[in-house]
This record gives sequence, C-alpha cells and structure tokens, in this order.
Amino acid sequence: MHGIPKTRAEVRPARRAECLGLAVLAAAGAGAGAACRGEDRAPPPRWHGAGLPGPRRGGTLTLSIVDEVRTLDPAIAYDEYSAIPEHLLYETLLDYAPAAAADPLALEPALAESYTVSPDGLSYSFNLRPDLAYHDGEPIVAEDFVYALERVLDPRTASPGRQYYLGIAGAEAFAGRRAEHVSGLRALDARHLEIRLEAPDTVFPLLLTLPFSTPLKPSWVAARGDRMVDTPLASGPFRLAELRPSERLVLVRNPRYWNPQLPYLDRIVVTMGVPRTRAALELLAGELDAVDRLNADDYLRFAATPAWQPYLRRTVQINSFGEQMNLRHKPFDDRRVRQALNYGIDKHDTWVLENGRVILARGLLPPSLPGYDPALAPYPYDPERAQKLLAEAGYPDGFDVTYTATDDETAQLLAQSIQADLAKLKIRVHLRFLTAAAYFSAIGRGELPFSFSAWNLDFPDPYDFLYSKFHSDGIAAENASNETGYRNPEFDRLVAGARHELDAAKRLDMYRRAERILHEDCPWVWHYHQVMVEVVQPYVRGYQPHPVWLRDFRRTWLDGPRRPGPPP
Amino acid sequence: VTRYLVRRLGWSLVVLWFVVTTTFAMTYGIPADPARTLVGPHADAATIASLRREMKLDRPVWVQYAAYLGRLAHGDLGRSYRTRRPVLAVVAEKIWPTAQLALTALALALLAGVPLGVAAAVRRGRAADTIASAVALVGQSAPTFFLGPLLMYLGAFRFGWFPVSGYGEPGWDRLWHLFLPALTLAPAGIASYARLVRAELTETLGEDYVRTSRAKGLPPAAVVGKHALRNALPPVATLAGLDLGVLLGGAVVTESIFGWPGLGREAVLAIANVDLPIILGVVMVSAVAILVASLLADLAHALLDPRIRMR
Repeated sequence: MHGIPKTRAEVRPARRAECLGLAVLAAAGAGAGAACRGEDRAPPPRWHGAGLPGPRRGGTLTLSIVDEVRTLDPAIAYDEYSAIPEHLLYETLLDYAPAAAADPLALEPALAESYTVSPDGLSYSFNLRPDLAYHDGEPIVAEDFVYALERVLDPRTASPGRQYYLGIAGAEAFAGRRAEHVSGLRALDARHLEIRLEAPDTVFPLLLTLPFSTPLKPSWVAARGDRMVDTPLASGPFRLAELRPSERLVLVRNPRYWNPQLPYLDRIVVTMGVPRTRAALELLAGELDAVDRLNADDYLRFAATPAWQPYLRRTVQINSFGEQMNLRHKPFDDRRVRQALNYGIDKHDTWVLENGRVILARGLLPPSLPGYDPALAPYPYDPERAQKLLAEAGYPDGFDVTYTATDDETAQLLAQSIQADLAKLKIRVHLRFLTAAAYFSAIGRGELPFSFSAWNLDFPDPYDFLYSKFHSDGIAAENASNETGYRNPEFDRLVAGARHELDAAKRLDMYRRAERILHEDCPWVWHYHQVMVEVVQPYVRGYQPHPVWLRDFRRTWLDGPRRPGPPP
Repeated sequence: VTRYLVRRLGWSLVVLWFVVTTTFAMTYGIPADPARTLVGPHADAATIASLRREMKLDRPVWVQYAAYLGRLAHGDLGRSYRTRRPVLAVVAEKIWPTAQLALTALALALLAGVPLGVAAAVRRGRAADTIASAVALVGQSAPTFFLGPLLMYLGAFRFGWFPVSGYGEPGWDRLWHLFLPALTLAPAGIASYARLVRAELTETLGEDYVRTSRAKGLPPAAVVGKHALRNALPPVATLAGLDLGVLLGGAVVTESIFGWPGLGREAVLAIANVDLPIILGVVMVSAVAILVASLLADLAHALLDPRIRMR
C-alpha cells in the first residue's frame, strides 16, 4: 500500500511519539517525552457543569477561528468564518429549523410571521412580525428588505450574492443600471412585503435565509459608507460589542431581538487566527469552550478518551469533495479514462487518513441533501477494471499528469494517497501544491488538468451542486464556476428545468436523472463528504452544529457557573 | 553632523524606494487574484470582474505601480483589500503590540545577556565561561518555531502559569500574556549580547588603562564596572538598536504562534489573503524601522564613544 496504512490501528503507533498538538516536541527528546505521558489520550476535562435541568440565561462563550472575520457587511461577507457572527447578528425573513429539530432543513418564518406563495409560484407575500426593531431601537420595516436586496443587486456593491437574486422580476434591468428600482420588490406598507419573480423558482425561499437578504436601514448605510465592514446593524439575537480586526470579536445579547426567549448567552467572544493545534490546547486549558475540526493527531486523542466522548458533536456536512478532471485536457477528454480513475482510487484510504471523519461518496450529492439518491451505485475500487478501461482508451501504459491541490495537511495526505493508487495503473502523478488564493485563481482559469475540488453548499438544494459546478453556463475564461469544461445538453436541460418545476416529485426525479448522467460521465472522481466534529466543554449545552450554518450558537447555554474537576 | 544626516536620509530614501519596488514586483508576481480571494470561491465571474475594475486591478502593472508611488508620495498607503481600512491605520494599530513585544524581548535579552558576557569575560576559561558559552550556543541555535511551542506547552499547558495565547487587557494581564512570547524571542538576543560583551570586555580588560586602574588599587568590581564595561558598551548599544529595528518589523513566527496581534501576524494574514496594500505597508514599516534604528544606533555609538567623529 505504498506506506499508506489501512486501518486506524496502523495509523496510531506511527504518531504515538507526538504530544498533544505539538509534533515538534517529539524532537525535544527525553524532556518532552516525559512531559507527554499518556500520549494516546487527551487529559480529561478540567471543568464540568452545575447540572441544571434546563436552559440558563447568562455567561460568556469563548470560541476561536483559524482565519479572521474580514467584514461584517452582509452584502459582502461570504466565507465560513464570517458566517459564524453573521448568523448571530442578522435575522432574515425565513430561517432553517434548529439543529436539534427532526428536519433541520425545514424552513421556518423568522422576521416574517407568515408568508403565502401564489399558485403559479411567481409571487411571494410576507407579513412581518409586529414591533420588529434593530439593535439601536429603530423599527424594521418592509422597505428595508427592498433596500437591502437592491444594494446586493447593485453592481457597484460587488456582492458575491448578486447572482442569486437575479430571478426577481426587474432585477436584471436594475443590475444593468437600466432601471431605478427592482420592479418585483414592493413594500406594500411597513409590515407587508411582496416579491415577484420572473419565473417560478423552488430555490427562491432558500435564498431568503442568506444574510445577503437581511434588512438594512438606508440611513444607517449612508452614514457609515466604508465602515459597514465593522458597524453591523443587528436584527438577530446578538449585536456587535467590539471588533478588533484580525484579533477578536465580541458579540453581546441584542435586547431588541424579536424572540424574547433567545439567546441564552450574554456574550460570545471569538478570537481570530488561532491554529487548530493551539485551539485544542486552549480548550484543555479551559480558555476556549468549543473547538471544531481538530487536526488528525488531536482528534484521535480526544476520540480515544472516554471522558470526552459525550462532548464530541458530529454533523454530516452538506458538501462534496473529489478530484476534478479537465475535459479540455488529454487524456481526460475520454470518458473511459475518467471512469478508470473512479475505479482506480481506493476511497477507503481517505476514510483512514481522515480518521473516519468522512462519508464516502456515491456520486456528487451528499446524503443529508434532499434529492440524494441512495440507489446510485458507487464506483467500487477495482484496479483491474480501471486497467482494462485505460487499455481500451489507448493508455495501456498509463500517462503523466500533474495533480494540483491546496497546501493544507489533509489535501497533501490525500494527494499522496491518490498518487500511490494511480501508480498501480502506471499513471505517473506529479504533485503540485498551491496556497488557497493561488489555487482558486488557477482553477478558475480552467488551466489545471487534474486537481482537488470541493463544493460547500450555499443552500440545501441539488441545484446548488449540479448547476454551480457542472452546468455549461459556468464555463468561462476567467473565474469559471464550471472548472472541468463539462458540457452535456441533456444534463443542462434537466438541471435548469428542475429549478422551475413546482411539482416536488417531478423535480426530484429530474435532479436524480441529471445526477445519473453526471455520474456516468464523471468529470470528477466522486470521493467523499466531510463529517464535522466539534469538541465542547462539558458545561456547554444546547449545542449541535447545524447542517447549513454549522457553528450556530443561538440556542447554546452554559450549565454554570462551571466547576473544577472532570464531570462526575 | 548636519551634512552627515542629510546624506544618511538621502540614502535611506533610496533604500526605501528599492524595498517598495522589489516588494511590489514580488507581490504582483503572486499567481492569485485578490478580487477572487476577497469575494470567495462562490462569487460569479461578473461580480469578480466588476470588483477588479473597482479595485483598479484591471490596469497594467506599471500604471498601478506609478499610481501607488504617486499616492505614497502624498503619504497615502491605500486601503486594505480585506477590511477596506486605511493601511496607515492598520499599521499604526498593529505596531504597538509589536513594540511592546520587541522592547520586552530586548530588555530580557540585555538583562540576561550582558551579565552573562561579563561573567564569561572576567572568569575566562572557567565554569562561568563554559556555562555562558553553552547558553549562548543554545540561545542562538534554538529557532522560535521550536522554542515557542515548547514554552507554550510547558509554561501554559503543563504548568498553567501563563495563558496559552492572546494579547490580554492593559496592565498586569498584558504583562502576563507578554511573558512567553518575549521569552521565545529573547534567547537569540541573550546569546549575541553575551558573546559581544565577552569579546569586547576581554579586549578592554587587557588595555593599559585597565591595568593602571587595577594597579592603583581599585576593587575588581569597580575596575570592570567603571572602566572596562563602559568602553565595551557602545557596540552593545549599536547592536541593540539594530535588533530593535528588526524586532519592530514584527516577529512573524512568534506572533503567529502566540496569537500576538502585531505587525508580523498581520503580514502573515495579509500574505495568505493576497492583501497587497497591507503587505507593502508592513514591509515599508519594517524598512523604515531598521533605517531609523541603525541611524539612531550610529548616533548613540558616537555619543557614547567620543573617539568617533561624524563626517
């Protein structure tokens, strides 16, 4: 297996010498060795809760993120780190059910009290809750939603969310600066909002959960200008108390939030730029209350420690990872070659390398997504079949190809695993690692023949995955979203049509047919979906990562004050 | 002295221009699009194109370079791509944490390094000298990326004396947070000061005036303290000045390890996110710090040693 271990038991001894999160200490010899007794396990929790039966109000939750929150402007912010404070600051018309609900993807009214959709699916009428207000006490009115959406659609804002709302009637004309206002957005009075669409759109209600659509007061934005990045106008359960760029962010309870029951926490402190290894140490030292996505070493230690078991929270993420093959590059223009790679890569290795924190893929769509097809047969690991397909395609002796990935730990390990698997098919894979920024630029130009690829959801609908990555609309010279150059008219027709199909059964059937075509054509090696694991302190309650929002602390409470010593 | 200063300043401007130009060329050579990095991988091509226009990234490189130099001449360092804040404000905010770290590390280095060097010189060839040499060797060769995590593990996690990371609140809390990162940075300085003091002192202890002061019956402590050390100090001051200049540019590794919100960590975040104006700003501040520090060090050297005349 070219040095790639097959089971978890084989993975662990190799890493035994490393102290928690501090591989470098292994090199320090005897002194460090003595310092890491019990190196296979994490020390037990140092604090536990008071054992309260139900939610308690108050307390401060401390978190960290690996990167930084660059902006809190709801029209601009669109990355996994700003998503955490954004979801706490901004309320939208609709939202998903809480993580603990039977169906956390079900839509619930939020700032809207209720809404109706016309039978033709073209017109949405929203009734806002009474007495809504921003954190500064100003009332939230229907006109504010119109303003916020027009701000997102205005090309001068350069909002990454602009594309989503172009289906509103008159949005194209407004975005092209041919109209003063978006004709399909109308505030009937302070509490009634009407949105008309160009065509029926089953995805549209999901777009009204995104922070792009949070209401904004025109006077607030006009007074702040460039400062919108750090002066958010909060309509959600928290408001901003402090933002020290690239350092820390403090949120406090918003007393004007419409739901008087929430939030339970008084404050949330987010420290920025904390590497995962250090975050694990800080959690053990009691300086942090929750840490997500631990490094492999740290995760194995927590997972092997019984005292931590109840405090590991797992969520299957709605994303998809694979190896993309550029159809404009030989030999990937030949479907048999692409299929050969799907048979020739042993996905079980990935499960081992990620310590079981993945679900191996059948096709593109992840299992927690509506429209997932449990009947889709995955490509099994079958090197002989792969060899046969390669020979049929005219490559009995393989070929040379460069595989490009980002320079993080997991991607590098996976790349080596793929290299080893494909070597058995005589495919000589040369590895190349780029920083994330350089990787995204290169992949957007469609110049990489073979590379790591991933899609994280924008909204939980198959359309987001199928259209964004594989519809021919996304082929472009620069910043293409369809990076493989995949083009199939039947697939295009099904995906584009499904979005406008109001009959749910018909729509799901169209998505499934589209996914099967894609599965057969395989511009990717269908590889895996991530399982997010978050470790929390024993006194952190009411927390479960949400499949869409991931780190959602709206209903989190602290069973405290915390007490020293491990939980009884 | 005035002519000397004018000439030094002139050369400083040339050096600065060279640094800016080289950094500009290097950062624009990064094969990554700042606009795409800014709006994230899910933005569509049209949005990225309009952002490129807004950020003036669609213009030829030399036009951007000329525009940058033009703004620079007016003291405008531009705005951060990431946060849209003025670069000058970001740098001004981040230099204070870096200065606290730099001064503390330098103070630790001097407080430990100078006595160590004196002990080594006075007791040359004996145990003290051997110990001092060993400490100097370890200090000089232990890299911060090794020492930092080691100190963090022992000082913060194993024994819990210090916080794992962070900046803390002003006052004692700040000092408490400052200790481990400063201790990570100090050993390299301790080593170089100890060696320098030892070398200088060994030389001056052999001088005639030292022998004379010994002969007139001064106690050994006074001989070393009053006469020999005084003459050994100017080079130490020069070195300390230069070190301070380098440290003020930001301790990239140490600040990143301990989450110290200074210039070094800001530079790392800026590089990862292709924030060109911030990268240029931080590099420029580092260059200015080193230029000013070396100028001040030379002046201090001259003040401490009247044998030097400036021309």
